[in-house]
Amino acid sequence: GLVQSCGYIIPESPLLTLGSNFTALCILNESCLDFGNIHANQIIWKIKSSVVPKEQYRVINRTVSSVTFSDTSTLATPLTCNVLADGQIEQNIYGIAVTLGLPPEKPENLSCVVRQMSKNTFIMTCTWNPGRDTFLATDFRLKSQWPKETLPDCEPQGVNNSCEISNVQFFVNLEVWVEAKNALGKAESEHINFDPVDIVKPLPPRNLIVSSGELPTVLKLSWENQISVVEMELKFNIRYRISDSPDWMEVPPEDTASHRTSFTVQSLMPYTKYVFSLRCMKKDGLGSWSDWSKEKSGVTSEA
Amino acid sequence: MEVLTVDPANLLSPAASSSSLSQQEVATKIKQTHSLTVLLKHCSEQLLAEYVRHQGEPFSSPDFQPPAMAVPGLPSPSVPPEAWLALSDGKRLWHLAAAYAALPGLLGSVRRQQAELNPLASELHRQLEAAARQCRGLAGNLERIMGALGVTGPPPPSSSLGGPTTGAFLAKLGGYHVCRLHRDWAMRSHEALGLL
Repeated sequence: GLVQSCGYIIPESPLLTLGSNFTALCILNESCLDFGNIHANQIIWKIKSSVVPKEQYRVINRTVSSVTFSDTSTLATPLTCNVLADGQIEQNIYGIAVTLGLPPEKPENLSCVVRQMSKNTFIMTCTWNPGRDTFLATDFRLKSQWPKETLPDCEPQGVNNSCEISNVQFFVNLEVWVEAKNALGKAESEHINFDPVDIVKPLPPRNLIVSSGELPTVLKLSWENQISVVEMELKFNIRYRISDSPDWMEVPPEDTASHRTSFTVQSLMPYTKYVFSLRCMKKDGLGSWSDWSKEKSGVTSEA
Repeated sequence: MEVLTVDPANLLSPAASSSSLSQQEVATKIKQTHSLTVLLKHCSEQLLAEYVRHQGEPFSSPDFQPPAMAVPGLPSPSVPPEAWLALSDGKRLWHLAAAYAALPGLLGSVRRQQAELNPLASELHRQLEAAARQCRGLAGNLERIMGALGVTGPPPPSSSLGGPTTGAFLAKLGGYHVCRLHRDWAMRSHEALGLL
């Protein structure tokens, strides 16, 4: 080009781990030495516009000066090499951009939940603690595999601590883990292994119907389970309250611990309006309770 | 839903006892796989009905019962029920493994064909994709059980469903036979796992 630089810095554009040490060299061109009567001991290192203390310099020879930082946390962009030439005019020789960051930490607390979204649709959401900020572009991937088949990676969307997998397969053990990678390193979470059917939060029962019976102290509930019995058998919690009371009462869980689509609530007061709601989960207690169903009311018959 | 109780003690051959799975793990894996066959049986029946519903005449007429047709690469469950029951556990598992090694690829081919023949049948596409995934899962589970029981598996399949120029009707018929064989094998696998 028109202007020939009088020197350069190596390394050119370093990527450095925060807290590590770093040394840069400024190397003057021979041609400039004679022209400007310059020597490496006239070099002044600067971070932005602040002069680096001279104790950190070392003149290697007539053309080379080094600067050392024992802790890169003090570094910033640009790092420049300058010369105080004759007549005390400071001349910039060269400058570099410094990128500082940290390798990813091991992702922690990986856990997954399968949420039922509709009759046949299940979404598995896995969440984890991504660890400290790395100040660098860091790629997280949720990896999963069956004993003999690697499944597609799940790429988090806009976040770095969760991912959603849609093709959930019950009754086949799945191994899941998280990989974090950036320019300074790579880390991998613990692997967890489970059958997705054991971490399901099912949809609540629906179409709840409350009907009075012959006895005035009884109301019969019937409903539709939204998860198929071939996927899991359910147990239930049934709660009820007198319609103008805020206090819920609950059917003893042991009475609703088996798969069903109806239940008769007893020991109610005659000719009284009750409100009912129920929830379900996998019969063996694995997974999570569904949300409570919509409330439905019914009135016991007169005594 | 049937409750399956498994006594692994009388299943494990001496050669298997050194496998990576303990007896309890084998029993758990068999129970898990039995649940998978219950799911597979349920879904395969739904898939066959969904498939027929989208192919138009003559598939959708009630008396449409074409003779069974062999699908290249996919063994057919032609062993008569009595003979099937007389087979050893290992032999039954071997037959299942051979079928479920081939079915995922075939179901994948049917899904690709249906994406062209019935592009709007999204539920059918979803079921075909789910069926292939279930079969791959079952194949993996069977392989684990067979490894634990000391049973060697079949050779890898060489299945593919017809060349590109089979014509719409023949493509639909081929897909029909795959879905029907899938349903038949699902019933066989459910029965076989129940016997373990």
